Amino acid sequence: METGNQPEPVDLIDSNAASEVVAQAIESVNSFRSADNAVSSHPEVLLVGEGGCLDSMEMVTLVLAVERRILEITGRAISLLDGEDFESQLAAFHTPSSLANLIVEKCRC
Amino acid sequence: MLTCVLVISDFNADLVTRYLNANQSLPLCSATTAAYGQVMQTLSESSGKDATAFIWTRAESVIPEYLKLLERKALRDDRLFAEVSAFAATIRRFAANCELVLVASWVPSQAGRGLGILEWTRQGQASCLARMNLMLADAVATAPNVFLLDSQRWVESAQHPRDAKYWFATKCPFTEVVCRAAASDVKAALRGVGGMARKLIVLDLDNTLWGGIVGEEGWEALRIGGHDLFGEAYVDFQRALKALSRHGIAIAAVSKNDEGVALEVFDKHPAMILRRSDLCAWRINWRDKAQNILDLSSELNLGLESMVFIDDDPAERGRVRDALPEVLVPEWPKDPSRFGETLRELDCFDRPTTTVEDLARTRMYVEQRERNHSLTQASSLEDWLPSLGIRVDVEPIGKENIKRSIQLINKTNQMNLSTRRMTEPRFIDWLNEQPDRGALTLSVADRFGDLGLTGFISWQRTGTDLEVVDFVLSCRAMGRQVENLMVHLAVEAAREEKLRSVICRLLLTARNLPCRDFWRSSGFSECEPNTFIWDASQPYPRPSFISANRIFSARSLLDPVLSQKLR
Repeated sequence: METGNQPEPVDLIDSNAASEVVAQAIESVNSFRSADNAVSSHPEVLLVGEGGCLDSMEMVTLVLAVERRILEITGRAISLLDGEDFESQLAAFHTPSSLANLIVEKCRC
Repeated sequence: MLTCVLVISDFNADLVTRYLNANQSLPLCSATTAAYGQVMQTLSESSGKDATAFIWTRAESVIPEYLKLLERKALRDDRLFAEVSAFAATIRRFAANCELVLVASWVPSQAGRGLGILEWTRQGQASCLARMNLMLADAVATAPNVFLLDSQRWVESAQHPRDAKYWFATKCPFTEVVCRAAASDVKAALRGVGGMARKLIVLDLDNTLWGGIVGEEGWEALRIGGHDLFGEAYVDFQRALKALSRHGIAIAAVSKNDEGVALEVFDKHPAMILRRSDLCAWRINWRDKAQNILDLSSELNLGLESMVFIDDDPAERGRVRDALPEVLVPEWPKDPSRFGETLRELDCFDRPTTTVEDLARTRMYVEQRERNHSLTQASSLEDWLPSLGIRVDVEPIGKENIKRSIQLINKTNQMNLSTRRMTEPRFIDWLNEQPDRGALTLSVADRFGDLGLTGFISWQRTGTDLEVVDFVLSCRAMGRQVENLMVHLAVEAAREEKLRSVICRLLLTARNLPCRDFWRSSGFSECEPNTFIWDASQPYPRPSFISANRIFSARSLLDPVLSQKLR
């Protein structure tokens, strides 16, 4: 078996595009929140964890909206919620910024 | 005022509840979710009093025989339909205590091919669900306050309607886009039942109804029909408009053009679907369109909140939105091939019933225009009124006229004493609660045409008085002393019963000032603010120029036998 140079990983989506996907997903969540309770898509706003603004239904809706949007854009199915202990993954969902980083990482091949 | 909505589902329908509460379109809702997964318990135990309920179930959850089909077990049609019938009966019983019940039709809750080429055989899921939905629709149609909503449309509105992962994580089989579409349909239904449906489309002409600018190109050069992508699109849009007009939505034109030049298109272009006779009114001139719409509102005696304005020009749309916020101005696509579908997607025309009056709306507005013209020719109002040859047909409330009566009560604002909004069952309950309650309808016609059922009055005996509860007259018939005839009827009913007085309590709103003005000039005494009283020992004069074709004995108006007709 040939053991030559490994190919460089390729990002299917860059961090700007990933942030845009997260912002769109936040808009999906905002569509069922009252206008005065809308979630900001600022990169550092706390989404989950202590002080987070999303409840579990909103969090799942947000994450799955991201997964579907990534599939549309890249043709690649990614799994952000993979059934592992959610608490241990929490840091990756803390903010729009951390979620965008997770997207870029999952879309790397 | 918030409309209370109870969302009942076997799955987690909390998103629908959230969308209903977040949606700021009228009526504003206070929605709650019933106990998760306890549909039959909720329907069987909940009183539902005065509430609106939205029931959205998965067929496999409430129809056990259908679950067998999904599991590819042998299915028995007779059991399946017995279960659907029993479910419908449960909904009807529940609805008897509700204001309004909306039921989502069944769609597959999971994506899949089913039996493939056998899907439309009797054992196929598609065939089975279609038959179940038809049966459910027929079975609930017997309840006047239950309506089936087409959930297939909600599914079609989403690129990803279902997401198995979402189901496993949240126990909601449909994605948020589907839930949002469901909530929008519930809101549209609430508006329709509440009499908030739009009645008039005000149309721009150039590049909206046809392609091109008639003033520059002439009617022969316009793009309508023919072997032309956009020409066909304009025909399609006109067909959609024509279909709405047949359903009681009137059409008016507002255009910056020379009137004669623009109307020539309606009269001469062979591909036009809409003709001049399809327009109930128009303002074709070079004035501000917002002002023209206000003029139309005045001419047709129709509130701005009943109007939709369609224009291809975003600047004109913005102007009308700013100047007349009550008018619905939908965003309009640039591409004419999208016009028809955009119109068909508008949810502002939903109504629970279509009455004879709805179907004749355009004709009635044309007659109103002729009537108004005759007023300008008359020397005075006193001369004009007798010249109209007004005829009124007075009928007690009954099965034949209750739907239109409820529609009238719910839609009328200006000449409406109490502005109480009711569903048909709620009104029947009210009528039957006490034996001495009565209600009359008035259908009005004159030499210009038939105005239809435009008047409604109800009353109850309170001690030695007769209290007028509803006093409703469509704006189409206002100002012709039909109001005075209605008062005459109430006073006569009181006199025959030897009652002491007739009392009328006005519940003042921002929009029924014309009603207050009428009562203040009616001859009744205003014993306290907005409460009017008449000494029933004195007759109330009947307008001499109105011929009433059929007036029931006033005594019979308080006869409980009449209200029994509606039991």
